Amino acid sequence: MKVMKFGIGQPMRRVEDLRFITGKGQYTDDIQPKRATFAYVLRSPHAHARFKISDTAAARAAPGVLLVLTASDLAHLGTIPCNGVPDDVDMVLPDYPVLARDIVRHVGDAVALVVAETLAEAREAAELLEVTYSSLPAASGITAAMAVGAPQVWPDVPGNVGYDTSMGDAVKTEAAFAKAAKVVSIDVVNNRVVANYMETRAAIGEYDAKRDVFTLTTGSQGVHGIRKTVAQTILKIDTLKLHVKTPDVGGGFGTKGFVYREYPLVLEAAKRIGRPVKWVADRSEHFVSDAQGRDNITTAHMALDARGRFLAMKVDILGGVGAYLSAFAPYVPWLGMSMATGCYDIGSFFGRTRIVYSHTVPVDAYRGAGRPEAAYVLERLVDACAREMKMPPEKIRALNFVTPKQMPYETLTNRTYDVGDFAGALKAALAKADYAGFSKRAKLASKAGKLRGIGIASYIECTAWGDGEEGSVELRPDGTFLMRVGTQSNGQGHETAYAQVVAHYLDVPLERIALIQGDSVQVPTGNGTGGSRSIPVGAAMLTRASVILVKQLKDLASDILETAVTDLEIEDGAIRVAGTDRQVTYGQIAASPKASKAKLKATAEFVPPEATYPNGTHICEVEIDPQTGETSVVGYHLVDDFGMTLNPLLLAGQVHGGIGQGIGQALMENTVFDGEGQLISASLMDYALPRADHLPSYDFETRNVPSTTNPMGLKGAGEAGSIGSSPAVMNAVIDALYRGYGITTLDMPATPHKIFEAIRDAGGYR
Amino acid sequence: MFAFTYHRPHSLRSASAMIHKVEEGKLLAGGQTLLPTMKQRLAAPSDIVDLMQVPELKGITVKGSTVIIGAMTTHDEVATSAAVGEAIPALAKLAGGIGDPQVRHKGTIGGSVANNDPAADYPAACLALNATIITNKRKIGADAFFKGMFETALEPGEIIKAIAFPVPSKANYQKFPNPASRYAVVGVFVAKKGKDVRVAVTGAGQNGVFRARTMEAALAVKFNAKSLQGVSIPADGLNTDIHAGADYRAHLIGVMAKRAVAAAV
Ligand SMILES: Cc1cc2nc3c(=O)[nH]c(=O)nc-3n(C[C@H](O)[C@H](O)[C@H](O)COP(=O)(O)OP(=O)(O)OC[C@H]3O[C@@H](n4cnc5c(N)ncnc54)[C@H](O)[C@@H]3O)c2cc1C
Repeated sequence: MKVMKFGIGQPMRRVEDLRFITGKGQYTDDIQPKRATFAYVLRSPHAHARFKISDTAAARAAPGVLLVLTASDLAHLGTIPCNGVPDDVDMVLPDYPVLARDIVRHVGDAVALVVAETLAEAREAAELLEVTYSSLPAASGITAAMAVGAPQVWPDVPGNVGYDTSMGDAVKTEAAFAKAAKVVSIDVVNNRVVANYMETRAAIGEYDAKRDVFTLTTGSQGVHGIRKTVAQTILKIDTLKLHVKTPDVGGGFGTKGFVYREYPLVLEAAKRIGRPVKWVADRSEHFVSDAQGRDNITTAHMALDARGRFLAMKVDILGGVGAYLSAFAPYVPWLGMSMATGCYDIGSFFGRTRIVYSHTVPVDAYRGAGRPEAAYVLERLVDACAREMKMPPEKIRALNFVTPKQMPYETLTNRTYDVGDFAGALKAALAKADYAGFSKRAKLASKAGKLRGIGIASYIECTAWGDGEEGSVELRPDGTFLMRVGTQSNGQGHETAYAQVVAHYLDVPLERIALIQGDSVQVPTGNGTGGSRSIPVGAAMLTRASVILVKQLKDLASDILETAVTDLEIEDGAIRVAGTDRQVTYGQIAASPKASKAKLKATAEFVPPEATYPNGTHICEVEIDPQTGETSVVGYHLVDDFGMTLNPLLLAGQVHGGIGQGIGQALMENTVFDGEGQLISASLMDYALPRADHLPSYDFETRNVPSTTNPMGLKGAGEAGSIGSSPAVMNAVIDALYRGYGITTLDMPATPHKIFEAIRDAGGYR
Repeated sequence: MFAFTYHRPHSLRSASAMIHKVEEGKLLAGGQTLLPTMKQRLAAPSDIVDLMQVPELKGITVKGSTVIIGAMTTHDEVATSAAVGEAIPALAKLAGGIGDPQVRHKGTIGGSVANNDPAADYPAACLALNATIITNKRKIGADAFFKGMFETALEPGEIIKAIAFPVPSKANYQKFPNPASRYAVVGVFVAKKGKDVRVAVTGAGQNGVFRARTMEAALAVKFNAKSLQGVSIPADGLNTDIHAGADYRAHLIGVMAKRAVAAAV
């Protein structure tokens, strides 16, 4: 097939951007239903307390108040389910009620909902609710929750350990460790982060009494999953009695994919008062009401032979889940364990994972979900191995990589990598980064009083596994096309990327291809966006649908033009008889009496047979001011294998954004709970997000090896940036500190304060 | 936010009359501190007296060797003022490093000085440059004005009109910003005027901005970064928070002071 102007692989600018940058985006809070009322959620100021709401009368009688809901009003509702229990794990699933009952378990735990004519009235009335808390001792974070005699989050989960599971061969691994020439061990903390999308969560609940149908409008990562959970499990109604809509979404990162309490609450409230109910989180609320990310403490060991080959590896993961079990919380650390061996061919492996409750905000999947944690542990460990073996970090990697010849490669964690050239990506990245010239740059920096360090992270991750997507492409009467897809753009640019697939086959400009997403009525099925699945799964499905539609339209054109299908070709928005100027436009085909709805629409499905495995190498260069402890990222080079590039601009956008998050986590983002479980970094005045001036220019290139499990060769690219970056940055920071002061370990975030303390403790200021 | 009554006087006299007449009134300048506090319902004034339209509080003038900046002058106006840039470049640079562009276009010098946030930048400039705070009632020297965290010599309803900065022979401000808010974790303003050397430290002290007398003494002997070698500020009395411990702040004061002296022009 010839290269289409707007098609696959072209650096098309985003068709949605004009709308966004001219302020015409429609986010949930931009929608103002007629007769809307406003909801305010009263939240717990305590991390752990028994509570009683002794009086709601004053609040109910306050000006403008329409409804007050507490747990006792919601006995008919189900609880928020957790669907992410790993297959081989047996565990208790504690109740996650829509409103807390008798006990609050984290700061921000939802206690009551007040609905009024205005938000100010709802808020003021909430202050009139008489809530008496008797505070209980709190387990603030993983370490506190694991301590002997720690306060219990759940009575039926002794020791706060939600599950304790393992993977691999303990006996073989111990035997390998016993005969190793060297054993290298590290302890690392993967710091908890707060998603902080630009658009905070919001929800509008409506109820049509005549049809007995609810409508939920909310910025999500896919309407169908939310519909199923809210309808079937919580409201206990038929799925078709709930219509879920998602307008434009200002960032999701996994965190907007879950069902949150406010969704059933606004629906229940709307039904009770017979008017639309709107709730919008403010930034402070975001910090305590949305699931947070990461939060692992891991110990890892590598056994090596005298040459530096990895004989065996052990990891012991503690995954913090907070107080309640959010949607995929138990699955995330387990998923991390399943990627623990990364790009390396290791003789044997044993992993243990425990999830740990504490009186803190729940934790769930966040951009990368388990894979960044795994890559972070492994790449820190590999660098530690290099240091202890006195081997260059690139050499120890190259020596231990799984080679292309070994593909398909069965990992010791039951995964099959189909393709990948890890050494090739490393080599290309080293060249881009002028790795050989580093020592010269380090000398120059040292003359200027700075410490320079360079860090490598070679990662592999898994994307787009599990459920498929069914969707359609149709030709509309006006000659334009319409795609229906059950994934959800959160700002990634699906309108553009998907249109490029259709344009590729039908040769029409992107503006003539519209996308319907985010509507559970207009798009019958879907599995949403997450795990970098939209492009590998959605685009593969659209390819199939486009091919079918091309055939159907050619059949129609053949009828209309009275020419054999084999003589027809698609060009410039029309189907023509090859080599002539006889043609029929799409508009004419749509208007033809020979056309029918069925012939103008193609539906297809793609179910991925396996995950795809994007991989690559990030190389980060930093300069540390040893006087202040400040780190600047001065160089960033990376080579990624995404199998196939649908749109290089969109791809770069995903990679840049992901690295920004990784740099933020590595150097700045610090979620701090005090001993009592109070979140003390609960606003953007204290929680440091990276800004443009903290981030370098990225030197990014692809070195694609097409996936064999995806019909287009695609591998997911939405999370990879955040996976390779935090270890590359930390390896660079530790490299600098090692050169300067022999420091070999430091936890994220490597804030100036922490670096100062590390240098001080190493005697650097004496 | 709670309900309040809004007033917009057009002269200093009527502003003063209004603020004294109302029950629990607050003056509003750029609103960068006051409005977030009200939105979080941590402040509930009955009345707001907006100083935006008060002409007496505006403008930057240079009189002999003094720069006088009206209270309602925004940080951005100070940062980009040619007059300030020429007379006291360190002051213009300080203003250009406050917060972010939005904050600099709304926040004012009067609001900042009146608020005396322990991590704000201007208090350090006032103290080190030996500025005079001119109110609608009197003139107050900087040493007498800053009374501790969020505390000043202002009486209830007293309005800052302008701040007068004597032009130094050399000055510089070095700030180590909080990466989230960009307030000072530690900021050190060093100024030399004739023989007089003043070093003011913000962001670090539990009682807000203070003068580092041992540093001043060392620099009075010789105004050179080397003079500060071995002159340390004790960690006692310094802040500890999630961004920095007291010992780190003490260390940063030394680093910032040396850099300020080395960069002073
Ligand atoms: C995100 C953010 C970042 C910031 N970063 C910095 C920073 O890096 N460095 C820094 O120094 N500051 C910083 N600030 C503070 C800001 O620059 C303002 O200086 C500060 O908010 C006060 O000035 P304002 O004009 O906004 O005063 P307002 O908020 O309007 O008022 C503050 C107080 O001063 C009183 N007041 C105002 N004007 C007068 C007057 N003329 N006479 C008497 N009383 C008066 C008011 O009644 C009120 O009590 C930051 C603020 C924000 C929101």
